[in-house]
Amino acid sequence: MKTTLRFILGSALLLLCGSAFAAGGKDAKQAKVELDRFRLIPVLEGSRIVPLDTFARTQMLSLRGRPIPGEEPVSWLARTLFDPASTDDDVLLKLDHPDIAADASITNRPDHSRYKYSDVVHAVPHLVGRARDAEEVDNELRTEIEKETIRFTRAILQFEGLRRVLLFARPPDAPFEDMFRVDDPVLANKLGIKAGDNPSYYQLFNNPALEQIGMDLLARASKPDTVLDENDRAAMALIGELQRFQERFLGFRFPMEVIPVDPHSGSQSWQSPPNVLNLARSMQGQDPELMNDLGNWAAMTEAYQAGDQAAFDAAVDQHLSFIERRTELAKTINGASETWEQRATSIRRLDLAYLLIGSMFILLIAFGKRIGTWIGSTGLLIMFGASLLLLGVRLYSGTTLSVTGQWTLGLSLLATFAVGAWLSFGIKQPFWRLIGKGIMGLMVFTGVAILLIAKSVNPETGEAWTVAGSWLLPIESSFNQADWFGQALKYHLITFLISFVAILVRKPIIIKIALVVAGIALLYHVAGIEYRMFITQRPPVTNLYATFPFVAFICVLLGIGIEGFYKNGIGVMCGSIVGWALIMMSGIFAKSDTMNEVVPVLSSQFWLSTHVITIMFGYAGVFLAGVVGHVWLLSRLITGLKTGGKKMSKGDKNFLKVGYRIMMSILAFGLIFSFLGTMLGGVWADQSWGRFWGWDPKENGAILIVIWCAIMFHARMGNMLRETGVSAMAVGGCVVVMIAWLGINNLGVGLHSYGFQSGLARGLIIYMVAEAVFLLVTVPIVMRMEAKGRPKIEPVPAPAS
Amino acid sequence: MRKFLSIFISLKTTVTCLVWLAAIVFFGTLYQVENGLEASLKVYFYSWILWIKFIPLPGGMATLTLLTVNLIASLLIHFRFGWRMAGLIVVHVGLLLMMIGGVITYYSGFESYLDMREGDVTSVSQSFKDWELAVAGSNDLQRTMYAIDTADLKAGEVLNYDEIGVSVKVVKYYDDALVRYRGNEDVEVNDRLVALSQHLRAFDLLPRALTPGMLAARRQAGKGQAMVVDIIPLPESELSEQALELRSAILREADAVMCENHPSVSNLVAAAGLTEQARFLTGIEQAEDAPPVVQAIGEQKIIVVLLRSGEPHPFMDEMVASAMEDRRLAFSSLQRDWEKAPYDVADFEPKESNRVLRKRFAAERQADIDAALAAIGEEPVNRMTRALLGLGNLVGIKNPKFDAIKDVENRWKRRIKHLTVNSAPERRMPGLVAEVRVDGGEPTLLHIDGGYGMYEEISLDPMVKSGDRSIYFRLQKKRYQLPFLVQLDDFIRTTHVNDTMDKEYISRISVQTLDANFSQQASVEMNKPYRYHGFTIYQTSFDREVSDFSKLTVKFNTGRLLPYVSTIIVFLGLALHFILMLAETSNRKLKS
Repeated sequence: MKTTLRFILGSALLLLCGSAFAAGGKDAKQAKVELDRFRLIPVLEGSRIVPLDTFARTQMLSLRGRPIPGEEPVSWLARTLFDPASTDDDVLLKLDHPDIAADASITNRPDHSRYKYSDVVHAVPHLVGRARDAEEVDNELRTEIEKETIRFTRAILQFEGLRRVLLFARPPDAPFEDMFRVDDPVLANKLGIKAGDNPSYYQLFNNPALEQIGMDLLARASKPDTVLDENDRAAMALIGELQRFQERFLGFRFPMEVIPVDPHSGSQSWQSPPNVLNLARSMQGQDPELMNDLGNWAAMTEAYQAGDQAAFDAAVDQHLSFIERRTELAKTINGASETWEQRATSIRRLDLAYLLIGSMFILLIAFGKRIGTWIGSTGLLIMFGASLLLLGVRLYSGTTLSVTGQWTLGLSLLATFAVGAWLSFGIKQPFWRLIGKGIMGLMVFTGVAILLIAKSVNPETGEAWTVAGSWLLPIESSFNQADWFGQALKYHLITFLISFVAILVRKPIIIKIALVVAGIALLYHVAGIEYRMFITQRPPVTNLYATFPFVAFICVLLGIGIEGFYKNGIGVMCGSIVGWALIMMSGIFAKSDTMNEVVPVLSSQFWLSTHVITIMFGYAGVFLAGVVGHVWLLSRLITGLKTGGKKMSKGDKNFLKVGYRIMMSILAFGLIFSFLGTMLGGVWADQSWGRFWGWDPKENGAILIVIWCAIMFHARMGNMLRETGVSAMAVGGCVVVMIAWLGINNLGVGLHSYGFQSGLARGLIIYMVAEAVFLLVTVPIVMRMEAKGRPKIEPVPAPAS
Repeated sequence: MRKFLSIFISLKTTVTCLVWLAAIVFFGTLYQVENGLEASLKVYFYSWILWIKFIPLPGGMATLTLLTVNLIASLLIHFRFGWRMAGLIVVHVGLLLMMIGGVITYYSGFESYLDMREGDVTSVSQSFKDWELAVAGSNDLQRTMYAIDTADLKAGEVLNYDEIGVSVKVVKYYDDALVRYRGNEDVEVNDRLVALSQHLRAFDLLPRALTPGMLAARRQAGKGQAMVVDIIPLPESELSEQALELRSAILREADAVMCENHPSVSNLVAAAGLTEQARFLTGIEQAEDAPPVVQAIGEQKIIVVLLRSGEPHPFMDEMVASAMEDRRLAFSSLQRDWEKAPYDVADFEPKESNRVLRKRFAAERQADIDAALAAIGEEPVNRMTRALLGLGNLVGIKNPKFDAIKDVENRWKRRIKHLTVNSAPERRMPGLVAEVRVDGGEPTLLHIDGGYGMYEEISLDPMVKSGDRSIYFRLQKKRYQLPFLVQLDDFIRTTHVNDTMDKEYISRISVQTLDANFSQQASVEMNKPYRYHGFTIYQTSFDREVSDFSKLTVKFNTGRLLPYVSTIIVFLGLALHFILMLAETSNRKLKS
């Protein structure tokens, strides 16, 4: 009965959390039609084929830094493509230097950072000139202003390029709106349009009547006594305008490479519609499908402007079926015949089911009795085991191992299994038995997974198992829509708030609630990481952006693990606040993340999943320990102030003692993984560059963490530091981790360089100063408190000689 | 004495050393950002004494040595054997092993590279950054060269090449120098030389390191390369003695001219109304490339045409059009640069570190800053204020004064760039001024630049004559004789869709020992080196312009496995200790 009540209470709480964030965005502009099919159109970006909504997101991030509130990037993209005038007044173009705006006589906006296209359009020629000058200078000698000018100008040109991708399919915008206007009624009649209409380039270009008129003109002009009338002049002028349009608007390389021209050729296999138009012109009808597909884009444009949903979707479907015919993206696994849109829908349903069932399991673990806990934990294990297996197959299918490798792997699995067996049967303490069972289970799972992965090749061709594009694009699209990390962020914050309250009032039930919310945050968090892995077909961390969600994940996991062990709220509180903070930080780097392919030197599944992961564990451990250090110093300060130098209560004393112990064990964890990660980095460096250690800034950062921890443990051992000192050092550890993480070399404080270069360095230095201030304020006070509390030892008088 | 010894054992020493090491790592890395890896290794990481102004502090080496001594002493004295300490003992033994590995690597290994094109065979690799002074008794293809390392060469030092009776007394030696050419005292010529060499390379017109093996291989593969030399005939009276000698060598050795790789060149020959004979090469005014040219003509029948004409060349356009239309601009600037870069070295101007240069130009820079401040109507500021302005900028306080100063600083940075020692050691070009005696005769003053090592194609070996003997000198990248031959069979570079990004680089090589007892084919990729008896060959670089070119690194290191072993040991020790401690804690918890 009580359990049921708790269960209901917990569920209600969850619903509350969920609804707190369900509020919608502001009234932003929206595309005129639904884009559910449009967003799935494949496009080449970086070196990957992605759905259009990924492309929209990356474009948006590179122009604006973050999406327009309340509008999905793909809706913005649709407006830019089909109705550019509606984006004129979007606050879109990010500019970091107000001086550049002043120089280009762009009116400053109140927030000094983002501009509308209509603000900057008059300054483009000036900016291009400035950017050209700046490009003359060697990259490393460019000033910040020069770099920003180049970036800003390129961003504007990129945006203009996007606006003009479909210019051929709609009547030209101002100031060229009259370009193709046909006033002559005879000519208009011949072309099948109304006199005074503004047709698009595509309408005219693809018009057989105009071609015929042109041919006639040519034939007549070659005769000596031809006299041209009004009509002929109008036709000639129109043909001249077409020529002018081609020169002016089709001659560049356009963004948005959506049309597979020749999927089997190397360098130009995917191109943007205007470039394809140019190509189709020069190929003179050799590839009629290309011309037809341009027609699909023209139809999309027309339908969008008319707001005709059915026609729009039909045109998108036409384009998608063209893609299916032309590429292998649509190859299905089992010949299923759903459309991409249906697949996207079923993936979204699966996501929902995952969240609901996952939450149920978590609630069962937290509030259930014995059987409930068992069902909950087994359910979670099976769920994550299955997803890990799927990822394993996706990442490692087709990997071959040498015979030595196979033996080494098999024997080490067996050995670890044996250790687990010894722990679970040879040792009496229940803790070790549990750990032993865990190890055994993990080894069995790993063994089975490896066997399955090894078998996961196509038996006929011997090729690795891959997911066909017909699933990948919908998967990526639903990942874009779900915003897993954004949701995780909210739940981490809620966890932090609840656990903070829990620590204040010291009520175990509140800690339990915090744990449940933390578990749900993890559901989102893990899903985000796994989606990324699935899409990139890589281990979780391949670039700087990806480090943040992953380290955040490790910290939260560590926090929850510690909570399970010590049950006083510190673990879950520190874990969730770190999880929140790191995901927040990841926003800074989101701009550079396109889930792109990695450079050849990083292209190693093995090293990405060993060295990089261990280093991340190291960062997570040392960083989390630092956060516990903060908590320890603050609690010591508060208890000290509370008691006013008198004896602490037993609860406070115990809290501090346990806090210290937690800190030391996470630090040890961090040290082990930092060391291992650093050394594995050395081994990788030896494999790819031929040196184990080269004092490279990244290596130095990593070894700095190890040295820092070593100092701490040695000083503690030699009694040079006590609890306060260790906590302060741990707090310093946070700084060291951040320095190593973002790179000492990025600090920009060379001994002679004057001023600080990048915004990142600025942020890092402000963070360092803040930590220094924190330590300078807390440590002396805490030390005095500690000294008071400690029994005084009278110095022994030296014996007189 | 005892007290003194106890310093080595004390835990306080350990902590002090570690703190100091952390400081060295941190500041060394910052130093590296400004001055490059080489400088920071020298000043911070591999130094015994770290000089901060005039204060001597222990350097990286000293600290690590003290730590190692401390570690050994502690292992012998402090550590008690038992379960509690077991993990820690294992950890520290592992660390000791790692230090030993570091020492072995530091003192025994070497690192070098092979620039190869498909079909090339070689057993000689070059150092990335070390140089040697090579001396030869002739400029024949099959000559013997005697070489001595030039590392840490001091003025007054004497290098004796007893085998051929030459002694070289060093007058000056620069690690990185600007070359002043005779008749052209423009110090920026060096930059143009770099540009020139890049242009030439872009045209694929350069003979690369032409070792005998490579030549043979190229001949087998039926591949040729062309170098462009002047085709305007000059009267013999205007030719230098060296040029005449070279010319006669060419006429002697080249009986016909083939241009396999460059049909454009043969078109050019036809256009010039010349037969495809060596005769039209009469106008080599200066024998810049004597050895490679002679080798090339003699062995390979490669056309050598050097554009040195100051006038617009009559065949220029045709050549460019037929060869590489899209690089017209590059080619015309090549011609310009070539004009401005006579090869004759008059003297060297040493390059300086950033720090020295800043000091040297401090007054001028200050004047510039004051002027810039005056231009915006501000008073000159002192150092303290400048630092404050920088701090203000850091926290986001904008100040026009700061911007003005930063602007001047940036301009100065650009201005002194060509005077600064290149932070990448592989891009430095040394210069040597030396008195040379042949067979104990009269000393001759020679200026030898590192042009051969840097841009082999445009350097000439200075020569000294003694009686009927000619002795050639060459400052070149240090060579290593490998115990095996490497042949590049194939180089493959693959890319992702639309050539957006490189996917992988694969060099297929054949390795054969010099005694031909062992031979093997292998493929070298990123993260997949080839190993043979302590030697390891890595894929290092490639050339976007030349699709069959691959740069491979060859390393030799006997202590290669030690870091691997010690990593495993230390990790096992750490894990053991962690688990034991955790067990203790958990047991205590469970008991209470």
